[in-house]
Amino acid sequence: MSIAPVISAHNITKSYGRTHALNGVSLDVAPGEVLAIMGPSGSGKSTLLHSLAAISNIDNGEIIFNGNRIDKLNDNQRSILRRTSFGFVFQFGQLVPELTAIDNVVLPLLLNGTKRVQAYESANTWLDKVGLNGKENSLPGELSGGQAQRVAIARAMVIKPKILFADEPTGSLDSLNSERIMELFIGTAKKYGTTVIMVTHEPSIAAYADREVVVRDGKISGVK
Amino acid sequence: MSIGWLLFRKSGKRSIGRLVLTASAVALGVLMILAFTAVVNALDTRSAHSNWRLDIFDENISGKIIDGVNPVEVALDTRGNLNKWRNNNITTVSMFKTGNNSPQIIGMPIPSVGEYYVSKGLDKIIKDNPDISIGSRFGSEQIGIIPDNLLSSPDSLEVVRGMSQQEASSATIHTFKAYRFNDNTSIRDHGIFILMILIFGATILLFPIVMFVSIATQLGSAQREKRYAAMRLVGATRSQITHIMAIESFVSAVAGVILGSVAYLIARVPLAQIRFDNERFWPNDINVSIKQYCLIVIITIALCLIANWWGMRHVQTSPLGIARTQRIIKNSHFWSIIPLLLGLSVFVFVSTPVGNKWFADNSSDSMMPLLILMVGILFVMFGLILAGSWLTSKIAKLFAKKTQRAPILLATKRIAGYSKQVFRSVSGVVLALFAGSFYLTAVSGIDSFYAQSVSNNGYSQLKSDVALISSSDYSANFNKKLNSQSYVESSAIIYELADNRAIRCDDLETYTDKICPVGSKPTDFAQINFDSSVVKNVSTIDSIPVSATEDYFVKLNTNDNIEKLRTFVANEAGISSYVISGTYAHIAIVSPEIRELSSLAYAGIGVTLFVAIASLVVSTIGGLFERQRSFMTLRLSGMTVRQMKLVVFIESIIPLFLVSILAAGIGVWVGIVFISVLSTSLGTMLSPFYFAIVIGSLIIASICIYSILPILKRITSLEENRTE
Repeated sequence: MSIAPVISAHNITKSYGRTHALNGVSLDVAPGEVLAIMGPSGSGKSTLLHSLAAISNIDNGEIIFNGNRIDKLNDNQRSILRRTSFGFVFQFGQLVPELTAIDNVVLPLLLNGTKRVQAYESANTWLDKVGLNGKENSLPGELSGGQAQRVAIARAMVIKPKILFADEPTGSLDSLNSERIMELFIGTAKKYGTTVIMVTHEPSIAAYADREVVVRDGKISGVK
Repeated sequence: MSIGWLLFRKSGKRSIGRLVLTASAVALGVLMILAFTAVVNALDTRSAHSNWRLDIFDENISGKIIDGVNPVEVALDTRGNLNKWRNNNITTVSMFKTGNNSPQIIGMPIPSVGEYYVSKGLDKIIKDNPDISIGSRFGSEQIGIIPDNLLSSPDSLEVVRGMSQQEASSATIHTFKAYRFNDNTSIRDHGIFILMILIFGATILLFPIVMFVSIATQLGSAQREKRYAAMRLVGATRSQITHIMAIESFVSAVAGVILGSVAYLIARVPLAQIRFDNERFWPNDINVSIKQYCLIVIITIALCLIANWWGMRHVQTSPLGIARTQRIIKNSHFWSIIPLLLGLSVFVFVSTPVGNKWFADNSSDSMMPLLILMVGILFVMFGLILAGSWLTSKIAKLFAKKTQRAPILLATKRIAGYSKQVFRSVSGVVLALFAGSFYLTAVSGIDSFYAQSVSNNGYSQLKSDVALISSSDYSANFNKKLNSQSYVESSAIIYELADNRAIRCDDLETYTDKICPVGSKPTDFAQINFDSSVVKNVSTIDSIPVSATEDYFVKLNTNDNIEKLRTFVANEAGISSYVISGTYAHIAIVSPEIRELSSLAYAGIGVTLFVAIASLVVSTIGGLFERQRSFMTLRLSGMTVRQMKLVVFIESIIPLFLVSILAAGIGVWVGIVFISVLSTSLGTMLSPFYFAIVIGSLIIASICIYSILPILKRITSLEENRTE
């Protein structure tokens, strides 16, 4: 790869007790690339995603983001990294249930110290972009599964992240909604040059990616 | 505005129910603490109001000689018993000014002979009963009202009267010389004993409240964990999450403090109406100082923050979602029952003949037996708290082994596995029920003791509506004047002999419950004594020595006229005379403090049971939401809502019933053993009111739990669980 990777994993391992979730995984992801991590249940694909996203600690190896090791960061530094450089879209959106759609989107900006007025303007813009105009004041419980994922995409993109991490982003949706969400998700990322790393076990979702890696027994067993 | 405040404001609307509940729990706690403190302060201030009178005894205060000052001679007791209103004493202070340069009492110049002041309470009685002329017992002219600041209560019955030099120097009364009167009504330090009782009472009262606040602050922790996880995912740091948690607790604590303070301000008026020692409080005495208030507020808010932190300390707000740390649920160990066993062993020993004898033999000349019993009680009380979860777990396991029904098996398995958590919500009731049951059982023994003392009292031989008059200073024609009183039906002379009294046999039956032996003549004299124990059989004599002095029996048309008789006797035989009422002699005089403490014990049991029920309901609701996923799984597995309701009902009710019966049973038993040390003949019997409170509370608790069970249907519905 001629372009410097935005994020790299070098020989990382991770165990849960006696279970080896990751067993010497190395991976480079280029800027703007859409990478799909595939594999059967329990293969370690989600653990790999969580490790790259600085959510979980690794046991050995190193993870480099923008030229800096992030696996040695402390909890606070990881939090700051997540809210400034990473966006997340998980299976159920992971929205704060008591906050409205716009409050959920505005959350990472406020955590970053953005002024309220400016933060709400950006959040509004992003809700428009994901097609949720008029749903700003709805609670997550009042939204459909697809709408909740749109809020999650808006929340992830509002900070203009370098990398979007997605774990089964359409896992809770039907096929029609899955397709719509993936088009929105990938289309938005491409438009803003955001790298996407997503975990999925569905080939139809993986088909949106530029590259697919297959994880099996904690190792990368294949690249497409 | 910080992110914490913003989030609180935004999400507060959705969590309003939880916040209101937490704030209400805190408010109840604050109200109880403020009310308790205010009543203790009022009791302190009450005695401080009497400093001026009590310090007359003190040679270092009023009795300290001041050159050039003519002391006031003060008699703090009155010979005779005419200073009474019905069965209550009228505190009588008699004063004689020895010169012009005598000390004064602010607001109440020293009365001259015949002049007197009365308290507000007595003034009202005098005005309400003008035909009795109560005032004339103390002097000829009422010159004022004793100032409020010199009276312990608006209901105090007190008189300050002027006396003559002759009365002051009489050998029958004891006077003190007062060179100054202490007008300082500041509160004095408590004795260590009183302080311990206060701490003891406060602990029993506040323990369930603290538990309630702790449970309420943790309500909805599962939902909050979800929120914290989502925030962590988008980059909130741990300290930001802690900050948000702290703001929530802080706001609900502050709201609770404000609500509690307002409730206390409203409750001050009814609090002042509480009769302690048969007297109400001065409304202004029901107060907490600024220092106390600030301390209560700071401690309450700190406790809420600590309770919240304690409840959430095991929650790992991982960005990946709700994940608790790998917390191993610690089962209670056998050692936790050791303090209880130690405490109980003291009472087992006391209940054996050897132990009972040792305690009874040593109680009169040593404090050690009492101290051992008190330590035993403390060990049992706090031992119950420590052993509670172990006992709950063991009994639940026993049920689990024996039952064939799935709901009972599930419920008892959970109780056994989470016995600490389950027991916590009902632990407050253990203290209250044990302490209340013990106290009320012991008091019932003391009641029996007083009842016994009445039956031993010689005056109880008088018939009702009969009074005995005794004086050394009858006016001329006293008997004639006595019989001319409209309320007197008849009178008879009784003679005072060297070591007995005598009355004609034909009068004996009219005025007492005794009769002369068969064969006695009506003109014989029956020998009977009233100053000692009841006479079983009277003996007779046929003549009275010439030296015998005369007293009188009077039969009144109604005992209500005893007050008129007292006034008559005071005017015709002097204030140092006695009027003994047969009706009152049959009434056991139980110390008002014991009565009031009994009322407090009932109130304490009632309040703590109420709080325990509230805690149980709150923790049950919280538990339902925390276990939403488990219930959903059970429902998907084919369990009906009805079966799930039964599981939750059993889970909630078993610990409450178990600890209530256990704590009350041990309390009653310890009370019986305790009282057996005082006397082997005392009986103990709890009032039906006690059983009504305990059984009624348990029924109410069952109804409350039953009424929240429909939540199960909602939280296990598919619509509610689409993201689970």
